[in-house]
Amino acid sequence: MPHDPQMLKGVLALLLLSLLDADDGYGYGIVTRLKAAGFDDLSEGTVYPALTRLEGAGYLTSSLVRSGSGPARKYYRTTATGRDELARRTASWRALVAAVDIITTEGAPR
Amino acid sequence: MTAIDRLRVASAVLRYDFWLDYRGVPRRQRRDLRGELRANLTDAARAEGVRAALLGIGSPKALAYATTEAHPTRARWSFAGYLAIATFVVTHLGWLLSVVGFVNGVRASDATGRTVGGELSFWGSQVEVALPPSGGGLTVSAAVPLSLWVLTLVVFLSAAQPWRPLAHRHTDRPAHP
Repeated sequence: MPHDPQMLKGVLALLLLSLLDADDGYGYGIVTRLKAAGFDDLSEGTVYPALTRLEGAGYLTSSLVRSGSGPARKYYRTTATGRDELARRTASWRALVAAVDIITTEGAPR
Repeated sequence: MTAIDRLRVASAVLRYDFWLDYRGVPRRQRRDLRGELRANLTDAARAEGVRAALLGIGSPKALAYATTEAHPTRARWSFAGYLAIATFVVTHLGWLLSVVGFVNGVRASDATGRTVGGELSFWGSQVEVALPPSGGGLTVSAAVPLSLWVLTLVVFLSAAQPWRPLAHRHTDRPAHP
């Protein structure tokens, strides 16, 4: 089932921070990891700008790594500030899911 | 990757850079972003083909706008350069056509053996055509008019807006100190 693009945009930073906290990665590699995890509808045009914005905000750090098959790749990794942001966003996401679950499974409280 | 594939990737990276420059992104940051996109496109093209790789990033303009904040304090030198070159080429062609028209007029007036000079008033430039008595080849002398250079310079400065840093500083001042 395709994901709602607006919802995806809302959680993209959370996904990227989480992914890059577990293991560093470069633009296209991150897109393939996201697709392998089921986010087929996330395009490079959405992920690359998000990486740049997260780096600008200080949540990611980057380094250039030479590639044997082409130009040097820019690898990203979550910073300490990024991990704090990841914890905040994760808590926020879980609270949202729990609240939505209450409404969708039990109906609105009277 | 074939040479055509490399050209398509290079074209996308160039268009991306054009819009980054238009947004006022500094040269060093643009160089980093260009390099990153080139590496990602190369990897994606190897894995999925150039067509899919380019489709994945969408429009280079939209990508540039989504990637960076606008930098209103920076002059747009590269953007102005492209525009100035285009202006110069187009106006140059127009001037050359005027010169050709003048030469054709002189030839049609049967001025064999004479040197005819005249002014292309629209451009403000002098042209001289010498037709040899034998009726063979002719000699044309004309200098690129100053108006072309001035117009190119005006377009360059209008597009680059080198006064942007000053204007921005001025608007940053509080209205009521």
